[in-house]
Amino acid sequence: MNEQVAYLSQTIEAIVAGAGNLLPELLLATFFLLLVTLDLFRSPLIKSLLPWLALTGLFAALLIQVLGGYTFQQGFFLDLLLSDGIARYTGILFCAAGIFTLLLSLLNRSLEKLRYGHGEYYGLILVLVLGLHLMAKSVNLLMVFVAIEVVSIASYILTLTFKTEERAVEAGLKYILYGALSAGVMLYGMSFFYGLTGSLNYAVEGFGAALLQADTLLVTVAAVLVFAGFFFKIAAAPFHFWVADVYQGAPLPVVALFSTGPKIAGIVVILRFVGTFADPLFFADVQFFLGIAAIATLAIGNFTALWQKTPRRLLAFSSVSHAGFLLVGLLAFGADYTQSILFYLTVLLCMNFGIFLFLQISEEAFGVAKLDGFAGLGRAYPFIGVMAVLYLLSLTGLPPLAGFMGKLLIFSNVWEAYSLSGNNLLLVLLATGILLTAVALFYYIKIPYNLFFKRNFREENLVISLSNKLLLVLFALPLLVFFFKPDLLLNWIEQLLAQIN
Amino acid sequence: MEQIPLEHILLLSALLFSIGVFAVISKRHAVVVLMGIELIFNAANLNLVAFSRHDPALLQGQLFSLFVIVVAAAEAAVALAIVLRVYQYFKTAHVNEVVSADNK
Repeated sequence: MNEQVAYLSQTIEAIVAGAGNLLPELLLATFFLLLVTLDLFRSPLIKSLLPWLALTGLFAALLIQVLGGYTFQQGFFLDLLLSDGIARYTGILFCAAGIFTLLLSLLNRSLEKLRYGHGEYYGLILVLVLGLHLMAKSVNLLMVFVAIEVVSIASYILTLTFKTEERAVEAGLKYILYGALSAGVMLYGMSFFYGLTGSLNYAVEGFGAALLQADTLLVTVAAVLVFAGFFFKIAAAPFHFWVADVYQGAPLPVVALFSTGPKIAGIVVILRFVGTFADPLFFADVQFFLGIAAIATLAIGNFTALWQKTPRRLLAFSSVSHAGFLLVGLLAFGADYTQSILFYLTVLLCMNFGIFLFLQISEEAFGVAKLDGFAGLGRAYPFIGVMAVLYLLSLTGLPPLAGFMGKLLIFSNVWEAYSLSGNNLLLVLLATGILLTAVALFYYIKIPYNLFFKRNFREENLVISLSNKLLLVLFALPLLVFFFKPDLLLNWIEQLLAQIN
Repeated sequence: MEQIPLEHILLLSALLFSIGVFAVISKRHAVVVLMGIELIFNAANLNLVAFSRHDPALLQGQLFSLFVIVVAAAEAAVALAIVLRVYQYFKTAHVNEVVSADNK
């Protein structure tokens, strides 16, 4: 009995000591509860305050993490969560993504017309961001599963924001069926890891050591099953089928969040998990599988995007191809690869929010639904056209934009890893990546081509609001700055990683 | 008391998993697909509980399976709500017939 009391008080002490590191999560949870409670009131004044309340919560969580004012110490929280530099940096990205989503939502007119469900919408965005924080911090199979499900369930409901639209309902069904299936498959794989190692925490030494003694085939099968769940979250092949429909059916601010937040968090989860499989000899099969998946993701993403007729679907497959590049980057096990992946993710965040804002403006103001709807828009509204070209060039990975730096850093890491290890898989990955970047040019160019080289656009003299223009510039600035001065960001990332480690 | 050997439980869970995957792949009705997914979750639960018996730290697997049950219930609630919506709009819950006008 006394032993149990001692154990209990020890656990409580650990929770109290670790609570400081969970301050952003606690804040987000508090604001979510506040939002849900306030949503019960019928007064229109309170309803109109809800988005600003959500924004306040996200800003508070962002500030806490940027300034590090709370006692941030590296450490485990009950064997479940690990607070380190990566978690802190990605936490900043998640809060930024949440804030950008809310800004886009405030500018979105179809959301304004929504008759009810505003409170839930903003609340679920907070929950999603909270889940992303937990995903990036978790080092425990149980915690990863719960965090991924928190993000997934919030995403399913957000997809159905426009409950009365057929395509939203279709998207929701496909999303949840694929999501639940991949979660189940992942769980089955996790149960084998638990059986093989007797531990749920995969950041400890014993986990990798136990796997080295286990049967290779079994480890490979379990790893493949677990990666199924992770691939679903980052929209990598062969778990990318939901992407196009969801991007078509969900509100654009939410799509922008889906294309960045879960991708960043999923990559961090894989980054932490894949470290266990760094041994090139023993885990050759696992690495081979990851390599094949990366190549398949790149090929499917880039080639399918070529046939798409709507901008949303095109961007959906573009996001699949970005997942492929990130997977390539993850396979270059080395000292610097964390920095360059985090750099790429940051750039991806700015590019995607920029291009989805452009899409939102053109859908809402000009009613563009298909690619040929852009025809002549750039001539009539040069500012918007130029900004769109900027984002698309960055997505393609052309200089002088940060998208180029991101790809360059990843490719140079892969090259370095290849020259160190002589692993042919890496060379193949590098070649595929570079070749398919050229393919990417062909589909991204469709939008600027329509914008500037076709003319049948009705001149309507619509005024684009200043806030929209300002946001377009805001997302573009980092793309230019980080091309000319990538060190600014890289040094900051390095500093955050080193400070705590 | 004699314990059921681990292999038997693993075989049973593998069988459950296969039936689940088969249901997901071959059945077209959304509710049946969800039932298949539920079987996959339960296969994993069975594994976790079985392995938990040999865990030096004890109970981690059982705890995990409790979490899984709760999460699966939450997921099923959302999924069934979506299936109801789908039925309202498409008058069918067959996965391959749920195609909205813009995607045809």
